[in-house]
Amino acid sequence: MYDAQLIVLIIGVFGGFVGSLLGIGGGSLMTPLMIAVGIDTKVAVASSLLAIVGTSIGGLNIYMKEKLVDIRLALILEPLSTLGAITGVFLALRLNNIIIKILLFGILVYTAYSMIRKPRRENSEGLPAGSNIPIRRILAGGLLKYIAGLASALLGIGGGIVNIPIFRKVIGLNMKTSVATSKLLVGITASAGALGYYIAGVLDPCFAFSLSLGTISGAYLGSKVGVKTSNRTLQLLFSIVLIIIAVLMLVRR
Amino acid sequence: MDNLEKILRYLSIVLLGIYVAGLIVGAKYCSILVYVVIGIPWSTVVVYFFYFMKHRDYVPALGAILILLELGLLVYLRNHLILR
Repeated sequence: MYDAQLIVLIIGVFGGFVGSLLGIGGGSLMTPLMIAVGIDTKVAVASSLLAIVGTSIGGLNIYMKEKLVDIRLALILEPLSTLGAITGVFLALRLNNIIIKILLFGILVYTAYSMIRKPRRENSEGLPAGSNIPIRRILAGGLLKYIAGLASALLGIGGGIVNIPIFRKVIGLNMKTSVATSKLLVGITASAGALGYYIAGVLDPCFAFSLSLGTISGAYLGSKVGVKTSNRTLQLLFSIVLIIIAVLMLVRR
Repeated sequence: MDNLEKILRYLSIVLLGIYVAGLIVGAKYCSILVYVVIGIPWSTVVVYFFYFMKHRDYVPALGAILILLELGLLVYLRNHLILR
């Protein structure tokens, strides 16, 4: 038991460290890693959600201070995201683990691909926080946020990989506001997912604790090392690591 | 910075503090951290309340009712052994 907790702690440190270095969510890294070392898929997903809450609220204060969070939009979209998380938990308890693994495999391959491809020039166009957003865009964004919440709870990922394109392309926010608003929503959605798994009796408190402790420490270490995400060699190296983790997770019985 | 943003900022600091405290205490009692995290969805209703009091904006305020209904749904699912 303690050996397993130590392994989970190391996975947390690794996930937090790499996530902080590369600017990717730790969840898409930690869940597959835990599955790859033999932890039950549902326990891995539930523990990952609990760790994501910590990383999400960690940086939120700075975004709030800089007025980058669109609070009204977040409050409108959160109920749909929470409903998605509840649906995700419901589905996760009924789906075969192999389906969850295949979906996670897809997320990992996509993350690796987005690190390998040449970075596009990120324009700063888009609406700032507090803008008047057309109702049609909010409705479309809400529908997609439901799917993002579902993916988050089903796969144990933060959902930033889904959220930011929704805020940028569908709702039309600028990049900084998208990242900041996503961070607020990710935390609440992940906690709703964790609540669902807790109620279902799947959440292992000690695994979740070890993972959270590791993630917070790893993210702190990563921010101290401070390698920029533009470091192409590092991105290429980790994209290979992601693919290896994805394959290991998939072949694990 | 308006009052609501201040409340949210302080709430995020307090939550982070509680989370870290949960991590420290969690070394002995792992469940403490779990209780902290599962309390977050319920506490968002407070934020909705403050938002409504400040802006008298009914659209996000409806969100509070929806969140409460959804959390109620979770409890219902558990009580009827559907979420197992």
